[in-house]
Amino acid sequence: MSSKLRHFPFVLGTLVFAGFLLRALCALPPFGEYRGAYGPAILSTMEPLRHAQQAVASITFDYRGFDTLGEEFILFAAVAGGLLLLRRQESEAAHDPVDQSGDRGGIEPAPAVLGLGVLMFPFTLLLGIYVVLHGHLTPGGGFQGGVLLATAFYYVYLSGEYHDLLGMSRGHIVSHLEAAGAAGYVIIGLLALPAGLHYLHNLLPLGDKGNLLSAGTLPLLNITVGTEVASAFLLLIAAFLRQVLVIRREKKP
Amino acid sequence: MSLAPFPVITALFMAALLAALEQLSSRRRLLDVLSLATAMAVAIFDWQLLDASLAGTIVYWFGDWKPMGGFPVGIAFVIDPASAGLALLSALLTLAALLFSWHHFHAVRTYYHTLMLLFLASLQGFALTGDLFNMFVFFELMGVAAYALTGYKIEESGPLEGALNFAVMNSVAGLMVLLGIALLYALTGGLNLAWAGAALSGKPAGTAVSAAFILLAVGFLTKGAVLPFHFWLPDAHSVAPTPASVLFSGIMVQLGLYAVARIYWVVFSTTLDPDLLRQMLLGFGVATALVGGVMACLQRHLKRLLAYSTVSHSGMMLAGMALLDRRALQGTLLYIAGHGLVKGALFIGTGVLVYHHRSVDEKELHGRCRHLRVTGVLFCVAGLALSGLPPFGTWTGKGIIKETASDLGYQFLPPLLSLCSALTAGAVLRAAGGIFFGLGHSDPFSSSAPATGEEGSETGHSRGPTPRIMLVPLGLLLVASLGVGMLPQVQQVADQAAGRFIDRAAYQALVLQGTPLPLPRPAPQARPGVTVSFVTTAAALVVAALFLGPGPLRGRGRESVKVLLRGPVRLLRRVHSGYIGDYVTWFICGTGIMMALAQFWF
Repeated sequence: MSSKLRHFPFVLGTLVFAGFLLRALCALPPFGEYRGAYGPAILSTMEPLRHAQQAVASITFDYRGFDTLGEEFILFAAVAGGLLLLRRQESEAAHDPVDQSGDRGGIEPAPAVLGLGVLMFPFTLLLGIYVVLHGHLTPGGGFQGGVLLATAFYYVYLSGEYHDLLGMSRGHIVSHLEAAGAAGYVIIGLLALPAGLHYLHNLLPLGDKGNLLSAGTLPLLNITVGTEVASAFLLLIAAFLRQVLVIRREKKP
Repeated sequence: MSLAPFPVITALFMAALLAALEQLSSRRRLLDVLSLATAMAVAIFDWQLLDASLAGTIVYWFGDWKPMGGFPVGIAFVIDPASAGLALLSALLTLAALLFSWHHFHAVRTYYHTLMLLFLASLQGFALTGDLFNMFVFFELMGVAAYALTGYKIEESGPLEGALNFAVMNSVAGLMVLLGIALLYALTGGLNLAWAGAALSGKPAGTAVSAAFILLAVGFLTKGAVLPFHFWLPDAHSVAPTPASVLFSGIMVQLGLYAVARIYWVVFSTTLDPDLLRQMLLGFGVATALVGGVMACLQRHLKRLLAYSTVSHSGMMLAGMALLDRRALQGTLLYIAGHGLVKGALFIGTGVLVYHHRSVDEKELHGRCRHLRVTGVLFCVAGLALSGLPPFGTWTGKGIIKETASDLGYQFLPPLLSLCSALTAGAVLRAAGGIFFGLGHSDPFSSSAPATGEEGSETGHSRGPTPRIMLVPLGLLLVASLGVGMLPQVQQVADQAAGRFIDRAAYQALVLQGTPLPLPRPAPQARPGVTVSFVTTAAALVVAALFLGPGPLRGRGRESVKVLLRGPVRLLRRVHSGYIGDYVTWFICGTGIMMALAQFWF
């Protein structure tokens, strides 16, 4: 179909779909009248059974921890796939990065950017670590904290020190950390099996509600997810940087 | 200690381990051996689970979160013979695919084994889970691993375009599934399938219920490559590396259909009107089977031909499932197993051609593969098995579906299924006759330009005879398909699986209360008629002969036939344009029509 011809059935189909979807949505229970059993079941059990004060973390890492295992591996698969697609082809060669604008001598970041990067790096890193470690107490957790941790290294890139990032590829410590983070979640789940319990049973001491060391395996799971997410994003940005800065297409012989 | 979580977690853990081993210098064989061992272990776990599930469905609550006062707060694997059997089939196909890839790649690149194992884990989880959102998680994992595997050969444009089409269509499908889950959650307040079914039962079917079902079905039917959601499949399956194609066509597509069947029987079967649903799904199934069969005949790119044959057979499976009957479901399950094994064998045979000649173009390879005798014979046997030749698994499966259809009064279905089988198998046999035996000459209706896929420099130069290790999985898959057709135990398992599958009350009681109800009584052994199957196989040979031999498609008659068919053929080709915008248009139109039908009918 030509793109003009395509617009007509597409708009028509979308309108029909949207109309009937709207009709279905109107048949749902009205806003604010939640009658589901899930919320009350979790709110009434998470404190007595798990000494947890944060329902979201309890659901993601305890009640439905197996979903989160799958989600962690979706990210893992996405990064593995991304690296597969962004690899250096046989017809391509690696070059040293050059400054794209010819009127500058070398690649020197502006002092203000460099200063800001140096200033922001430790604080972002610290914030990331905080968010990961307090995932079971306050909003946040491994996924969000992991992204913050990776962001800290993006400041390194902004400050012009991207050589450090370019090195992060297969075989680098970061890729091992990523694999360890992913495998760590699987292993923590296994801990329960020798005790005759089911996979992912939260069997570590629960501690006192609100303490840093509480809610059993939740902090450990947050740390593994944080490690995985942070290294996954680092590997990805490094792969994109290599694609843009280092790899050049050579003419086929 | 229950084995229930092990198929998934073994594959996930090994995927992470293999990713860490990637940097070793002499890693190739180590990765091969470890991934083979993993697939083997997963197959053994599945076998054990299948064996255990025959005595009673296994319910496994992760984290020991058993239902609290009848409400399931955790995630459960519900392992009945159907889910365990499909998981076992996916593990066996992965094993065959990994065996084949031992020599297939000239150099294995980054993360190939990791992605294969992640794909295996997702297939396992998707088949075994009894939780709607968990199903979605594995649906997404399956997608992400599959997109990357499809685009594996980044040097060519075909794989990247195929992977992009695949990714866009399946992400849209994922959105539909998510919307459906949201609607169902709003209606029932739970994500467990049994709970959702219990909450809906007895209530009248409103617009929201039917919309939830249609959204979920559309999402999973996109995975199942049902018209008009099938367009991504030929683009993706034809360009993916052979081992990935084996898994895509052998089990991934069928798991989409399985998911529709599962959510229908567990959640919606008491609410929706079965007669109307039967008509709707039958219509979509038959249309898919016909279009796929005709399109398969029009291809000259062998993998594309096989991909369209998968579309056609997926339509037949949907038609079998759509009868909403225990016997028909038994036949469909047998057919999924028999077809998956045969289709895997056909893709591996194609991979052998890539290994030797770096091409899967029917015209280009014409008569050039006479030296590949073993492969040629096995490929032809697989082609005959695709038509439902007794005693392959395809024969029992399709035979049972046809007989049940006749019993239920759908007299038109058996001839249609035979016709589509004959078309797809005929196309495969035509290609095999030309390539391996040099019969006939270029065929009159094939497209002019073949799509390039993984062939090219992927596998290096052809060297001497075909490595044995490539032929081993080809032979084993055919033997396994024979086993599915011949062993009475397989039929008993399929019968038990179907009986358990449709027993919604027992499923609910077991998952929500933990009380096992009596198992369904075994139905008498089915021995479908042999004559019809032989006629179908003969028809397939006739189709192949029409294309290859002298006859109406040659000489003077050829021009008139061509003129007669030019219009419809051109229309079909134009519809399968390869533009992602077109595909999304068809998708949204199809979804709109299904929503409209459902809301007016149900």
